[in-house]
Amino acid sequence: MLDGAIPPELSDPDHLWYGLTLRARTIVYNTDRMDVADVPTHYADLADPEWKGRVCMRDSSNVYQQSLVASLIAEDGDAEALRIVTGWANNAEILNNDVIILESIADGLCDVGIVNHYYLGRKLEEDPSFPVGLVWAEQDGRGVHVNISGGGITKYSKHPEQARQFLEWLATDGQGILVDANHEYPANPSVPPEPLIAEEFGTDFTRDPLQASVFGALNGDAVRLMDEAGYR
Amino acid sequence: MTSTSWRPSSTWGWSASAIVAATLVVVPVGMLATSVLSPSRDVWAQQWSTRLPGELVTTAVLLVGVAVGSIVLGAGLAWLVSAYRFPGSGTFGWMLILPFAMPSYILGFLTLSTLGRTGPVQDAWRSAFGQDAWFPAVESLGGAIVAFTLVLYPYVYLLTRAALRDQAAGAYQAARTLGAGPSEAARRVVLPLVRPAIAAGGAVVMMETLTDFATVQYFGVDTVSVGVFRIWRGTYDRDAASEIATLVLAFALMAIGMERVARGRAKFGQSGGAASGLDRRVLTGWRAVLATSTCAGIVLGAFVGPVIQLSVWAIREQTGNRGTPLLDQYPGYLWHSVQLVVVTVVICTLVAFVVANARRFGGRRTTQLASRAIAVGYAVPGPVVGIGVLLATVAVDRALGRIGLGLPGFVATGSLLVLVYAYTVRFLAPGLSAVESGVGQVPEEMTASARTLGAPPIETARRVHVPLARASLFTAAVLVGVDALKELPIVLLLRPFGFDTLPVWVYNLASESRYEQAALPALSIIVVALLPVYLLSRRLEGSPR
Repeated sequence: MLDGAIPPELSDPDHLWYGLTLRARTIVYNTDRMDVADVPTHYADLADPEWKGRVCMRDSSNVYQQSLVASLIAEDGDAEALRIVTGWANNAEILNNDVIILESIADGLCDVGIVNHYYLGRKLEEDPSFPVGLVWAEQDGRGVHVNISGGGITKYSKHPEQARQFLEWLATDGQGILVDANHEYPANPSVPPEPLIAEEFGTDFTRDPLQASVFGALNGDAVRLMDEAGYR
Repeated sequence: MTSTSWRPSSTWGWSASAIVAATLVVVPVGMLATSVLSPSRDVWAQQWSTRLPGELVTTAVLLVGVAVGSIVLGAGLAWLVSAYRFPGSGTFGWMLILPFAMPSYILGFLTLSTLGRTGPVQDAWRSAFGQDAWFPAVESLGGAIVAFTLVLYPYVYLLTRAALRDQAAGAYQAARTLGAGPSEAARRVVLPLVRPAIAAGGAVVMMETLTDFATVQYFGVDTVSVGVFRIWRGTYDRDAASEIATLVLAFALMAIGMERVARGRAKFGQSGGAASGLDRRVLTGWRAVLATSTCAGIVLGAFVGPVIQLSVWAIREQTGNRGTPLLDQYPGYLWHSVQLVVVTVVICTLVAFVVANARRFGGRRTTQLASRAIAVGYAVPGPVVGIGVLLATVAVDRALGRIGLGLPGFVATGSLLVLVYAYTVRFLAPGLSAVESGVGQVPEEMTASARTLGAPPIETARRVHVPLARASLFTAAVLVGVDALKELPIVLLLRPFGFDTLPVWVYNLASESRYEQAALPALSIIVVALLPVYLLSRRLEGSPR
């Protein structure tokens, strides 16, 4: 039943865990200062010298930044990933959480940045006129990088059967409750996302099909690569 | 008077207790430390050519900056309120302890949310003076040093005030009677007498700074501890992370070394008559204004202002339309925190008293070594203690299993025990340091008299040392309790599934800039930490003058 509800690229190949909600890491911009047509749509674009001093990004201790770089390594190779991250390091002001990145963009301290989409959802919920918008990255190619919140059953679980039923519920009828509170996208394709993000960000975007287990395995390489690129 | 005149047969039990306590503290740390003997050469080379040199410099500057700041502020304020009268001086005497209740990670996120780059102050600044108007970088090493200093100076302040009252007052009056001017008496008589207290305070402050990893992250300050975390969690290379963590240990040993040097051979006891406190000179005119406004500024900036801001947020959050579903979990978080604190305080105070007495009754060199070994636990960053304790208990688990006493996964997963063990490793040192200074102030002649009159060590400890060192036992309990309540990294690492404490809640919310929701648990930590601070201030102020 879980295999029917959750697409295979969002689950563990060995069925040890299943993705339940999705966190897209994409490019955001100041809607007052920029035209959407001028917003870069590739992660690599932000490494171009023209963006020097105009980008806000997350520090290398953060797991989302690590997984994004790991996906670059998996898809573009070591050398290209190093070039991109070095460019980011030269261009970007590196901050310590996604909300501060969004607020810095809203305050005009940077023009563009990379954040998880639901932080912007939360900001727009508090203030519909928050002057930051989102573009889906890499739509002409592999699609936007996505992280997963998921669940599995531990080996020594005291109640494996109830745990399985709970997981199944979370993957189906429970999806709405899961995503309504946190603005994440449901992993079950037959469940619509909550209205705010459906309206603001849409549902029609391509996500990078790279398996979480693949970029997860490259996480250590990503940390080392950021060290080498001088990316704080 | 030497220990040889006491019955030697009675001493080994005390020495053994001290050694057992020290061993329990040192083994987890040792298991980590020995990891460096088989180094992950590639990781060291890679780190050395990238982040490590910068992290070492940053850590050193941070430690020295916070220590100097706390000593200047803590000792200066202690002298100000002990030696002078000015409007509000009596009130400030206890109010200046208040920041003790403020964990650095709470003042840290408050600083960033108000003074940080996207906070209201800089927003207003930019709209007044233009988008590119200069403003001091708050998210910086300097910002972190100021924030740490504002919450850590009370350690120096408390120890210095106690020393001034108990040890320096009589000597100061004697010096004045013999014709020394006030500043000469302060410089030549008081300063040397309180130097050990200042040095001890400075060492504690450095260790507190060294163990932090949340506040420095808020300020974007990359210390070695942050580096260890990045390697541990980012690359899963636990061997390399433990090896790099030995550098943090090296910093801690340096801090201890600096304290020993600063303290020198000084060892003071006061016998004959209760200390009567300093005669306070009355400040008038601009001096009084300056003294009052300095104290008021510190108390406002480090405590009252932040508490008001948190209260506003907490009220807005409870009355806002979002509601706080997290509130339902509040009693659970609170109960977890209380459990941990109470158990840790009881264990640490008891063990500290035994070890402090062992230094009187046991072999001197052995017990001194044990007490220094215990100090290491406090200097090792919480997460590293956590990892070490995990290594040690898993080893015990396996050993028990091998001899057929194993309960599957008992230690590793039933880890409330492990959590308490780790807390004890971490917080025995401040408790011991307080109890030792109390027992150490009992004149050796008094111990010797009791023993000569036939009282066995236990009775001497109970009937002579406990009453005379009662204040220090109390101080120990308070220091341990507040530290345990604020503790974050260990509980993040070792908590049993679902065992979230108030600091974990605060950290999770503040890391995502959900300041309004973090306000209630943050206030709760501060309020609970205020209770011991209140008792401590009464003890400090209410003693006979």
